[in-house]
Amino acid sequence: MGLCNNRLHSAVITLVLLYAAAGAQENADSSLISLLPRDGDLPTWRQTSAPRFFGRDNLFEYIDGAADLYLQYGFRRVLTTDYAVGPDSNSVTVEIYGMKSPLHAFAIYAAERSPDETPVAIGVEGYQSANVLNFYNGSYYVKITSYTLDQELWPALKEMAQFLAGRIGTGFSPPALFAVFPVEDAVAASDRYVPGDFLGQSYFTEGYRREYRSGECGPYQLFLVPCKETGAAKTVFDCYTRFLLQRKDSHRPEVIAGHPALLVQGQDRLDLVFYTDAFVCGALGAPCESAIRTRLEEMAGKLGGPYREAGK
Amino acid sequence: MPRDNMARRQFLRSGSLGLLLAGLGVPAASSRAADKKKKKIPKRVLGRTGLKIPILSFGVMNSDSPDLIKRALDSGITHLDTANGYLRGNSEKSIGAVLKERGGRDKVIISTKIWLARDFQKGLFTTENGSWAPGATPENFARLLEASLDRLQSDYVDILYIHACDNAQMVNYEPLMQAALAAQKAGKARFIGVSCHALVPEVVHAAVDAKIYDVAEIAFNVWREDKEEIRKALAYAREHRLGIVAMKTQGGNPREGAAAVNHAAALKWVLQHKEVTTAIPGMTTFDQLDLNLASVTDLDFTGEEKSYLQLGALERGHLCQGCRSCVSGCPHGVEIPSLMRAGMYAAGYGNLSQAEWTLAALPESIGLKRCRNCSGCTASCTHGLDIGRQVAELKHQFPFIA
Repeated sequence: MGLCNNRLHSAVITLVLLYAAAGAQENADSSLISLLPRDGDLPTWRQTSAPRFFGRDNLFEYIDGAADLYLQYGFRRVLTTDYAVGPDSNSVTVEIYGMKSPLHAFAIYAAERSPDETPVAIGVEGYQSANVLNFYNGSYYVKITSYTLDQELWPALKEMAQFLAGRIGTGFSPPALFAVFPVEDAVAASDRYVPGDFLGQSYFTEGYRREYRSGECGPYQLFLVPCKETGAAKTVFDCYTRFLLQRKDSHRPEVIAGHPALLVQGQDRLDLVFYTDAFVCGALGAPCESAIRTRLEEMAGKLGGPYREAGK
Repeated sequence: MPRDNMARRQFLRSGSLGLLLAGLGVPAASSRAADKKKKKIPKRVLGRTGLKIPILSFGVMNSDSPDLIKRALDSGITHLDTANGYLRGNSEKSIGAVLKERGGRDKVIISTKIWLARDFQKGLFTTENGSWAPGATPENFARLLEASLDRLQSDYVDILYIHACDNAQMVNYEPLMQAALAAQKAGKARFIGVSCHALVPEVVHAAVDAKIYDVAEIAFNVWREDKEEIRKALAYAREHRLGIVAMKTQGGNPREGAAAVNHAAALKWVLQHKEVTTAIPGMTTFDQLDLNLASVTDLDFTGEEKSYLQLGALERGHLCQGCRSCVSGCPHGVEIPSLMRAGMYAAGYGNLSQAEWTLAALPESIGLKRCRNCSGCTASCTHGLDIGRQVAELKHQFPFIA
């Protein structure tokens, strides 16, 4: 009897799960569609194709090999649709990528931007370049692509972007942990959040980084890896320093603001890494030590403060 | 004295370095991986291009680390594969920056792909702009190639593909064929080819018959339903010296919750086909790179890899294609395809709850209990599944349902 009840219970759960999955997809599509302008919202924009949707199981059909990164970065579902804009009916494609979280939306947005593009104040952050206007806001990464290099179309792209950003909502902020990074000598638009295999290491399950360039030191990057579990920072620090030592460069133990550190000195690069109870932090590639030591001490000072919780 | 200099001297004087590092949990000796004697990656000739390429290449589509590209090159990989659309060109930029820093452009084979607009419903190129790509015209092809060359900081690419030609019509699309030939003639592409995911056999045949292409980059892996047809197409390619590069060797299209792929087994399976010159797995970690390097130096399967591939056939649905040809072979009317699906959840994904739900959802009259353990299972699978063994395993795992 009990077994029969169990079976019935299991069967019901199976059906509920299947139904829920189908329902979730439908909801996701509805949410994406609801962001688009309706007739009259943007008079110069005319929708020329029905929205199409792609999910995790068929994103490859839409963006081919580029899908790998999207999937790795928490992709959920994308809506894509085409418009004709203005008196010349220039064609424009709008894509709205729904991501797992605002942090994941930033991750994919940042992976695809370039420092030489023109920033625009739309959503949390955006940029305009030649024929595209891309931005992220909340959990959405929005790409608006025209097929003409004519800058006369820029205001129209902005109009659509502002509309979509408004529909997504307000009150979203950039990832909090970037406030830990020093500002001096930072390369604009070089912030990255990588939600897995950070720096090519599977044990870095996420990480933040920013590029720097100084006349004295040349290019280098600072990074920060939050560790959610007690003791994890030391473990991954040990793994990473073991990896750095594979280069057989000179190395020595160091201390950064009271935290254990390791310095690895190669012919044309220097890596300095330390850990706290909740983070692994470091500088990679800088050929001179004094500048990066100052930067890392600044970061270490902030990591003991309110940002400790931000990493959790 | 500047701190840098002082520190360096102290450092160099340090005679107890190992001890100090031990306190940090860092071994003073370098890792075993670095000490391993390097084995050379076997090479094969890429069809009529004559290029001799290591059988392991690097698909640079989502690598976050330039250091990983450098390590790959240091390890003997010479072929980097990318596309103009990956990360909006940032993948090409990574390659360009690394090669500028290291030099030696002529020692590296770079391939990239040009993606142009297509009508997804018709499966054909279109000259209309749309779907985030400009129309498929020679002018757009040339413009995108120039942008790629800029990002790669190179005057040429070694292999230039028309991206994602998924049927014969796309392979034979005259405007892009002419554009690719023009790029080759102008010295901007040494060799030209097509890449494809779907209808691979048709595309390979078309690429050979078109007579202008040197290479086809194809999605090929152990889980493909059409692998027998692909094998025949590979023989045709070999006969006509069309070079073959394999992608999606790990199956592509990963699903959340799916069992982890045995990368080594999947990679070896592809490379055991001699017609495949090289594979271009995407790699995001140094561990994956090391694993792939180790895998390709000996293409014989280990016992574990053999087991995985047998299981893998199950897991990816290969064992059960849902054709239901087995059902009539069971005198007791057991719903074999559903049992096989349950087996996939249990053995493939380790998801016993899902397996149990699947089994429990079946009416008793056609479920696991209905199987009478006939001494020789009379149901046979046209795809080679050992139905009797799989059902016996389920009965063993779920005795309360059996």
